[in-house]
Amino acid sequence: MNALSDLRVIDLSTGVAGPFCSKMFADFGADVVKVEPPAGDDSRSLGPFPDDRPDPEASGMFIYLNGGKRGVTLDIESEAGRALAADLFAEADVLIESFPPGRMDALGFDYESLEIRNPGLVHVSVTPFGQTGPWRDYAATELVQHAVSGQSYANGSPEREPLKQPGHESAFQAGACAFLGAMTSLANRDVTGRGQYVEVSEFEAAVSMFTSQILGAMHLGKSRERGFVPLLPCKDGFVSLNVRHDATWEYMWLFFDDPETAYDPRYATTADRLSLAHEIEAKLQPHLAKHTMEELFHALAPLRILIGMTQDVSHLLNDPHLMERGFFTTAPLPDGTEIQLPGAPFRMSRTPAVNDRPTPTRGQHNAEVF
Amino acid sequence: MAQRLPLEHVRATVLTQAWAGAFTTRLLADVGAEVIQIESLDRIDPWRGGYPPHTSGVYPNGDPGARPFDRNASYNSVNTGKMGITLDLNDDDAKSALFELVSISDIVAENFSARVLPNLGLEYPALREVNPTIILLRMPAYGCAGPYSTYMGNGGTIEPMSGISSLHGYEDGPPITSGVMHTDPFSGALATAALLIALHHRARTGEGQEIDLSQQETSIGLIADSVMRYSMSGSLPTRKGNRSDTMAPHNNYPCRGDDSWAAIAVRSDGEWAALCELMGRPELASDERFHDLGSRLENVRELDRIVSDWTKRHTADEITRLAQAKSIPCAPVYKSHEMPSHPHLVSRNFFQKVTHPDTGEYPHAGVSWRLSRTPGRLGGPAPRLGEHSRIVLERFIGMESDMVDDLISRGVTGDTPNLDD
Repeated sequence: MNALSDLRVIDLSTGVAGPFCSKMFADFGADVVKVEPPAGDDSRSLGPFPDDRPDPEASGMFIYLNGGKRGVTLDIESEAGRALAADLFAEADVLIESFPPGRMDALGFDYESLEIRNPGLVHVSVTPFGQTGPWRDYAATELVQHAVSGQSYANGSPEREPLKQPGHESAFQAGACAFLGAMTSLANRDVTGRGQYVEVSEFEAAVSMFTSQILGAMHLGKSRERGFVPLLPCKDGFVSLNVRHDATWEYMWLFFDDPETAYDPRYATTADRLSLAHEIEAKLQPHLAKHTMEELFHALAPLRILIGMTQDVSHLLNDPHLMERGFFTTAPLPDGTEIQLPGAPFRMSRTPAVNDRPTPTRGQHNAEVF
Repeated sequence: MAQRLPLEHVRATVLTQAWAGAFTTRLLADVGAEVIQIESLDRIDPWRGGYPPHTSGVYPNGDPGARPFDRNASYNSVNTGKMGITLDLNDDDAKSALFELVSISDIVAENFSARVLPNLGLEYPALREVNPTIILLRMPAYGCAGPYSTYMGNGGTIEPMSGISSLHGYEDGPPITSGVMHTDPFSGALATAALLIALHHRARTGEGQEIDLSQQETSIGLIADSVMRYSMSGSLPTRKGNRSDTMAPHNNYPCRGDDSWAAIAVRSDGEWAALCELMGRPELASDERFHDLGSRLENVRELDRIVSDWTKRHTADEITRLAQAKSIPCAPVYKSHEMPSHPHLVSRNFFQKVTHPDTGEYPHAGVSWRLSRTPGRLGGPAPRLGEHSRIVLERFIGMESDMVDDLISRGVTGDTPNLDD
């Protein structure tokens, strides 16, 4: 049984945030109808592509975000298209869109109008800066969202430019928040029978994630300094290493066969060790150089030491832990070859995620949906 | 039936701590769930920042005060709107109290490593015995099953283990971890999503269930594009700093002022031409070194130098106004302490003032999904250590007050950490 199979979701959104929200619905069994303009969704131009050759039916991100959805096309600029859309909205539980502020109103799809035909409709809007405020019409990308949310400033070397995180993180954050908005509205609808309008700003979603960093900055009157945690080189890569307790400190040096350091009173407490961090790093270097990431991880992690291997994507796809958990899933490309991609974000014991999730081609389900 | 907050009918008894788990259950509290957070007096939540002489928190004006664990920004930001009680779960009376709370709850949540819950005898079958419809969320770093599941992890291990660090860093430098541990709140938001899905299912079927969320896996989702790139082509993506394969210029550029920067992302040749006009260098739009994306990427160092020469002469705010007037994505690189006074966020009332009895009034980032009829809110300050122990034990599960006194005298509950030395 699927947890959300009683729900019909109409998704007019483009980009990453809105489609990630509806992907969560599709992952757990909702009937999600992805609505594209006749020329196809712009997000079909998001890579990666096989051989780096753009192909709207082989966009990696489009496949990741839209697997398990049905795909239709309609021209919302035309009267006939708007009539089709209005019929879809009338039968939907959730409507997700990412039009610029004011656009839905101009199309006659303001929430007050939509709820007349469908009082239970949950209408989710995801935009870069929200529907109101002086920045509502500003343009944004990932780089811009990382900058405005305070993440980039704190991230990188103090001597160099602030760094954004890799990938589409702020869009995923906003998509997750949009899903939370939709689901809490549905929980409310279970009690009241009424839907509501949910407004998500990618900017606010990103800021909300770092509330602790911001409160800390308000306590001190200044932002944390830009910095990063260096990874420590070992024989075949880099590891992160964090020893918090006196006992685990000893375990680590005993593994390195260096009891002298393990019991050296100069390093007895965390405070001592913090004050000698550079000295300790230098002392660690030759020991780490003798071992591979895997040797260090499998020796030290069971000793309750916080250690991480700096895995690249090839490591991930061969990681025995992820393989045993069956995390990665597959999806077909138009030429029939299969690619691997991240699976559902969590396991639910009674209502597992849906695995058989082909991605719709442009307009594939027009006939059956309309 | 009217409802003020969408989850006001939901009660969660949680052992969440630090960031990811505590953030998960704070999001529930934001929309009205009653969240009872259980803490240990022997090992207080690491995000309380320890107790003297070993404090590691961020306190108002740097002053830890007499009870620093009630004053730390980290804990106080992700536990708003919760009740806090202390219980030593190795004590039989405390464990009975916990089971009684479970019996009147909808949700139990925790983010320990996977060895802890079985050690405490609190696995799903045991919880289901006292509450057949209970929803249990477990979110260890590596999930509940698999060879790494008992290993400890935090943001600093998840970033390298999920592949993010291999992609993070300057184009000419080594891989790094951010130090921000940014994967925590994303995992937290998805964990809340899982709970809402489980509540939806339970409302229809009366069935509870167990959720296994691996923070490593949720974090890998953040670099899905790189996973697929490798899977398609066998080529490993490299570190690119702020640069992009599909946009140029694309960087944080130095501006006038102290450590001041502006992010500029040019998405098309048209935006590039508009930027050239703004820079007073219209000829660059047709310059063969920069006329299309391919040439701009090939000459990206020179490109960044030219843009920097322009940005350095202006403040980040000026650059933003000029570029956004041409619809070029651009913004200042903000510092965290500037966020609550950001004019856009101020006009949208995004920050909410919360008064904590031990720290005073501070702005907190609000609820980012805005519901028109039943909007969430931050439900009051984070609990002081053990603040609600007596109220919860006496009123919620009817414990006699002399029994509570006895638990306090034995250090099983109370409001003062048990010092190990």
